[in-house]
Amino acid sequence: MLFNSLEFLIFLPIVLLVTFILPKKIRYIWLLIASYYFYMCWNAVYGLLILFSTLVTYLGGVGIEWCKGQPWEETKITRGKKLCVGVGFGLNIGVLCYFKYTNFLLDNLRDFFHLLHIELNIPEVDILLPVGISFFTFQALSYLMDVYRDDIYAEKNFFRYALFVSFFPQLVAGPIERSKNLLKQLATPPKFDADNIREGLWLMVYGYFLKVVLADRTAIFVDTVYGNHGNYQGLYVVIAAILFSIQVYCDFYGYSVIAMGTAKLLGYRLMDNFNAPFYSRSVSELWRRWHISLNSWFKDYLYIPLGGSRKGKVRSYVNRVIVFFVSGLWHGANWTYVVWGMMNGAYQMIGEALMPLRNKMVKLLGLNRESASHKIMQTVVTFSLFAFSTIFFRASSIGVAFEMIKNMISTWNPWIFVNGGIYSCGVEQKNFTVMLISIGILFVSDFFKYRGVCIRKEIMKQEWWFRWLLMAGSVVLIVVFGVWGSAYNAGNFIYFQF
Amino acid sequence: MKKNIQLLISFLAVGGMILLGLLYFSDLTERKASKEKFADFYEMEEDFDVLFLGASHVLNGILPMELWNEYGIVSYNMAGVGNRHAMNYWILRNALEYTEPKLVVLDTAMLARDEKIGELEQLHFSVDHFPYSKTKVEMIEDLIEDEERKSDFLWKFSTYHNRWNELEEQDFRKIPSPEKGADGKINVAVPIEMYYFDEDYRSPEEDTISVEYVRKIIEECQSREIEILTVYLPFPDNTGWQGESNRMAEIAAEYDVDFIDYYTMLELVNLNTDFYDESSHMNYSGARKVTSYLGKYIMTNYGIEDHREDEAFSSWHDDYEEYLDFKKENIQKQEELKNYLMLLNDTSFSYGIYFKPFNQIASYPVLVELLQNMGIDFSQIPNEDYFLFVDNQNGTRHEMRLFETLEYRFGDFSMFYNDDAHLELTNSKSESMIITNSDIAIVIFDNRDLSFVDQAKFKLKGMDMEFPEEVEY
Repeated sequence: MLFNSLEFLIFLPIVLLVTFILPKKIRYIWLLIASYYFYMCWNAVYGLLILFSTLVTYLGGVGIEWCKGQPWEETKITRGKKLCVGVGFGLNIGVLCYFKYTNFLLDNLRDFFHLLHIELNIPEVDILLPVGISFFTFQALSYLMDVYRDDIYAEKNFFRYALFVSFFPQLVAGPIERSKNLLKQLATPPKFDADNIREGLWLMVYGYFLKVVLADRTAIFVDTVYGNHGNYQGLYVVIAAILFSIQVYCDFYGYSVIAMGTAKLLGYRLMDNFNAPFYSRSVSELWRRWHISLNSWFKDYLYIPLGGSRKGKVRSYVNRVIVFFVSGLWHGANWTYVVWGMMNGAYQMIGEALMPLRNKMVKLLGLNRESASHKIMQTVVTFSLFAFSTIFFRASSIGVAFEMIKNMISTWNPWIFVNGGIYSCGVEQKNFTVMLISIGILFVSDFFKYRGVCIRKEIMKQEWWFRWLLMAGSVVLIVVFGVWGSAYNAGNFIYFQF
Repeated sequence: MKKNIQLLISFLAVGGMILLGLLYFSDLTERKASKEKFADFYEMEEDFDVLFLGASHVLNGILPMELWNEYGIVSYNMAGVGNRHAMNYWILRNALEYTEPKLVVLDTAMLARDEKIGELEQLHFSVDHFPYSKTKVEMIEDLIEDEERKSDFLWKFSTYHNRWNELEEQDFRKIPSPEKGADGKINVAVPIEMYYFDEDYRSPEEDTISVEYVRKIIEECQSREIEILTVYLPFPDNTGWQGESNRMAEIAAEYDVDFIDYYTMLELVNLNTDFYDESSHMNYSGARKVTSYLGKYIMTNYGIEDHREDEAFSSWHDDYEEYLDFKKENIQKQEELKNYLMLLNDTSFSYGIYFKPFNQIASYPVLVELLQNMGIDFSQIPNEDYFLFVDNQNGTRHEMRLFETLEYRFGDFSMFYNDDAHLELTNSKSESMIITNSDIAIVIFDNRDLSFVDQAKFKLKGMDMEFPEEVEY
């Protein structure tokens, strides 16, 4: 079930109520049942899939602990541990690749042989991609690596571990939690706390605003331009790229915040997956603030095992290329995602390589890097580079992406802002105004977050009547202005395809 | 513990505020067409005598306020655009929770339709106004198959919340329709060529969903001892709709229910003057004729009381005054001669009509027929300056020709030919207007207070114009 569905709004209070009625000792069993029910609402067979991943990594963890406890030589213990990790990774990545990349591989094989003028008759395989498979697979594998690295002990309680893998607030679109954070919390169930309820609700309200009011509204404009890309040139493409960046951010961030809020209601703290990324002053900084759980996963479990930056600059660049390649591919089985990932990697590496030149220019021109104007310029450039790369993320193919870029640069049409053209892309004037106001709210909120100020906490310090009015008003306005109902389809969260 | 109690209080308070906010916006954003059409339906404390059911032919073609004025019949037009008979059945079932009529009149067009509903928007128009009830839920369960679409009707906010960007004045203050559910139309169309099918032609030959629900409507009425009259309202036909009338005659006979067939109703109207579009819907002129006929039929055959002197229905006199204001506004909005002439086939107004000599009206057959519709035989009008005043308040007519020195008074207005040989109208405030500097001119007065309503002048531009255009002088 989707977070922005009536079913979830009925499901959640029931889960909450029963959780806090049950004795602490067995709450995790109830949450496990609820999480599996949540997941199997999409497709009952998915339950077997997540169970498989859970079982493999659980046994892997137990196996590692068993190896550690044997009176073997160190090398044999290490080999045993590596075997457990290898089997765990192999099976899980294998399953992930099967569901996600089989048709991609077959298509590429077909295209490759077509280039050699050989027509391969490989039929399309009908594989339904299970929702969230990339997320819970990575979460389970991170646990296995943590056990291997002695960061944590293997969880002996299978059901508690199963809950870690399947915890419903973050199951289908993250954040990809670390065992050190979530598994530990699950071991010590929190008591009912009114402050958690308040904070959780505030988080959820903000998350719904981001998703239902902003992300789904920008999606209308984006879908119109991308769906008919041949008819849109110049600034239409520019605005669609900007809005898509905001859409994907709000869609994903909105989900993450709802997940955080839901977990908070239950008394659990999930990691913040985004930290005001559009205020970043470099692409490197943006990637430290964007999808933090995934990027830190790649850093900890791919980049560092490959050697990170410890083996020289060239090797560091190679490792980064690999990470961005895999990261791009993780987002979807299409070369467009790979190009998007590699572009962002290239931005970083070029940025680093040009750093000495940039430092010279700054000195030569007498620029002050700490001045507000310089920071704003850096922020705008960073956002522009990221927005440009999202043309590939959103386009249906690389060819379409290049066609759109060509359309974008071949026409200069600023009159669309004065002749009403901007309102002809599915978002009429009043809706456009709501969209701009919502973007304003987002950027103000992120500005404070970038400066280390949590608006939510400031609100919670205010008088009760103010908080009541703000909460009630926010909910009503989200329901009124939200993109839902029969005029729209309840927009799936973008990252559900992963 | 204290914190938990505070949380509970704030939860209830905020929840209450949210609920109030959502209820307010739900009402504000809901499309008002359905509520406006049926506002007066719920205001009635007494039962209606007659309910009219059907699709747009009825919606445009039967005028309850005219029935009230002419016969004292208290009725409501429950019809909606595109209503299939399954919809009519459920509209009746829901309506019967609020009123117990003596008679239901059902127009049986669309008998051949084999579906329960047409467009969803049409269903919204017809049923959104019904309050939430068990019968409404049953209706939606029966009419809608798509589970998601069911919630659109049971929780209208999901359909209408995005209307926030279309809000108008009438969303903030409801403006009920004065027509007691009807929606009269203003236009005169050139009709399609009528074709008479063989009298044996039946449509549909097999029972359809619509036939099934027509039977249900009849059975429902009979089980509740409500009289039912079935009709087939007229419109020009050359595709075979008449077959439905022939089929309905058989069904009506099965149930021993009165049926006024298509051909009988067709004789009441003039296809050239009484239709708003080329093949379907009557305009006000046609609707008044059909309404008047049905009113007489109902009074004669169903023992319905004349409530015009009934104290319990005294508010209907006020409603009729509002209806007359509405008709007055309709006239004042008009710009086309054909529409003026069509609307003036109405004894609620008195009017004067001027004809310049050697005008080309005879070149416009429809204008001639429209004048005929008003009881003016153009062939009898002399080829000279001619002004005819039709005083519908007193039921008299007065002719005025050039060089006549007598003036004619109507209310505060005086009409006479002035020294410049122009027909002039003046009043006690010395306001005056000349109406003879045109080929045709019309002045209209309200019978209630003899006040001026509107005037229009037309110049005939030539033979290639279908209808003359109004010009300003």
